[in-house]
Amino acid sequence: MKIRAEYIVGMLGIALVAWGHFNGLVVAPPEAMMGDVGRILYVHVPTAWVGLATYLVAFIAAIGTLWTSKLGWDAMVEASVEVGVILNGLLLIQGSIWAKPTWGVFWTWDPRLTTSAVMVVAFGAILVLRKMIDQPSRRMTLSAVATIVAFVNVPITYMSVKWWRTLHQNFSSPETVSSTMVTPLRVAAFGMLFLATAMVIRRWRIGHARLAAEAAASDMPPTPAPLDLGAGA
Amino acid sequence: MSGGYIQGGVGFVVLAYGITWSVLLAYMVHLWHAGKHCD
Repeated sequence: MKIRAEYIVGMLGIALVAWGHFNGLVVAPPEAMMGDVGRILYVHVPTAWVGLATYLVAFIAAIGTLWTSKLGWDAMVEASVEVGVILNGLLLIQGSIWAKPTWGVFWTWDPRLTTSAVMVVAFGAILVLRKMIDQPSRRMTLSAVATIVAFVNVPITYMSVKWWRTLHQNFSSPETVSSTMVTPLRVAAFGMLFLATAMVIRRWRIGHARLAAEAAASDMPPTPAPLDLGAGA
Repeated sequence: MSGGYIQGGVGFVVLAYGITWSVLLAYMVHLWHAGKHCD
């Protein structure tokens, strides 16, 4: 077995996330207002940051796809959108779990929550769209355009806590947070970034191999329907 | 081991971390298996 870059980056990611989470759960003090529930911070915030960064990669790949029509960019759209949707889904689950003890409800149509939900639906729809279109060049173009359109919501989600009055807390500054809390958060965030990078690379390899095989076989005639030997009986 | 206005809530913390780690590890294992032909 060949040692791939994603194995090393992935293992480093797991180690950093594990260290960050251990320190956030065991070493860091309870949050002043929320107590122990505030420890969800160390998993929720890195998931959010890295999820948005993954969508940014998808946006750049979509522009690259439209610019060059290369399979590599198309595979990167597929990989980064898929990883982004998984992180986005986790983000909503973690947020709902955190919301229950702090706000009293699992869900409310707050601007930050609503834009995050719109984000997972929009990017999830791109994965469905890719499954539904068989023609490679049409799939490539449509999913790239859809990714660019879906990305419009990403900066809106990020800025939603500034632009509207929300239940969700505003941006925090490291200057106002104890280093015993900032360090595990930063380490977990870097770990999550490495993990997501490894997953995107791996997913890109799988997608690129499939798209290349599909392109190589595109001149083949369609597979004939199987013979129905029982029809005349 | 608590403080602040909300007492307890450790179950919520365990649930959030448990779901996250389970999903991420399951997805990584899936990618590792699905990409074996690329190695």
